Amino acid sequence: MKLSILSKTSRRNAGYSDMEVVAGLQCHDRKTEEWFYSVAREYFYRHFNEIFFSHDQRQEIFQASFLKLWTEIDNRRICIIGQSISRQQRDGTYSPMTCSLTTFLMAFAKNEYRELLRSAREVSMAELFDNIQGQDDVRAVFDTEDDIQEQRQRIIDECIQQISPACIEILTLFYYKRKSLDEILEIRKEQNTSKNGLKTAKNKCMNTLRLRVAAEMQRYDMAM
Amino acid sequence: MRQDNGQRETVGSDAMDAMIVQGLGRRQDKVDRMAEMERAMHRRSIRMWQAVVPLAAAACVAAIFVWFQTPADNVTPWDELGLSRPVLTAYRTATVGSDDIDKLVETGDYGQALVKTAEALKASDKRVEAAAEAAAACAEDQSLVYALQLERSFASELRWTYIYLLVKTGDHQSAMAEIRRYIHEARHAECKEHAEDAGKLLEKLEKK
Repeated sequence: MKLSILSKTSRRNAGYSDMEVVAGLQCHDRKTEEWFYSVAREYFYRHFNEIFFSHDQRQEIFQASFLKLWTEIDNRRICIIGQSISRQQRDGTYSPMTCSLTTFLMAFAKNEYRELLRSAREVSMAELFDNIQGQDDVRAVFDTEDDIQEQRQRIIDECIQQISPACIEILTLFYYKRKSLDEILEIRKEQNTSKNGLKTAKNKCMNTLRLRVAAEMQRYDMAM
Repeated sequence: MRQDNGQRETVGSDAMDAMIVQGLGRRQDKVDRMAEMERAMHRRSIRMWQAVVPLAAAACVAAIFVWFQTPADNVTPWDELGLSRPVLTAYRTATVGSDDIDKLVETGDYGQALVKTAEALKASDKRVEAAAEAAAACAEDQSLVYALQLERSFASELRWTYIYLLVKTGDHQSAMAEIRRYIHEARHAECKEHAEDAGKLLEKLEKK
């Protein structure tokens, strides 16, 4: 199906159409990834005119927004249905998207921008795991006919996206990259001053994430 | 599930923890891939600058060279003699196409003007030949004689313009050949207008 989409849809400026991008990203096609990343980045820098932000902060906003969009496509919350790109709604149904992927990216960027403004003040360790409490509900509601495992993955990915960047970094370093607390302390020396503080943060981040995931799983009757 | 000190909250299951770690991994893979694409873009950007900067520098050097060379090149034997630029449309014998040649000369597009003038001159020489034959065949017809004079006059002006363009484009050998022909044609009364200047120009070119 994806190959047929790739060959049928029209080319845009010797690049890819949005449908080709969605199909390509879902196939993990590296050329499509590179092309879309470059186009999205250029579009973002051309249209994101918020002032008082350094290049690094702007890049941070772009990366976070792009990651969200990419995850939505990868998890098939954004997918191709028939001859159009659709996005899953709160009630679990899919509706055709009325804007381009780059416009959608900018909507994510606006949210990221507001988040960054809110967190412009120094974030204490206590706030790292409190941040998660105030978030909106995970929006995805799944069709019961979908593969349960895939649905669980989506819930987990969305819960991860909602925790603070610092929490994600600590958890990724510890659980995925299997770094020791001492190594994490070295990597994050500016953010964490003591090993005990880091251990507490790590535990609280993980427990909050587990609680969040468990609650969402329970909500959709998918408890593990 | 990995633990730092053997103590852990009991919320969730090992299966859930494993899925969380997978989720963190999926996210990290994307972050790593983005960093890789960012580096690739940076490398491409550097390569582009490495290609563009020498080209831009070469273009600047060429521009400076042209800037300094142009005035020197513009001073041709024609200019040294203080001769005025020929304007075909100033003559009543001017024909269709004269205006185009004048415009090209005026804008300094000597190469294109030379091509157009050569074509016009070739056609004009043929018309002169035909008019001469017609006038010779019927010598008593004064209108044919007058037509021949007009054709010769225009051919002469075209040749003078052609000489100007050859001198301007630096083709002195061809210019000298055309000047000799011009002087030869100047035996006709209607072709004498620049004969004196042509002689001086030939002399100057021969010395070069």
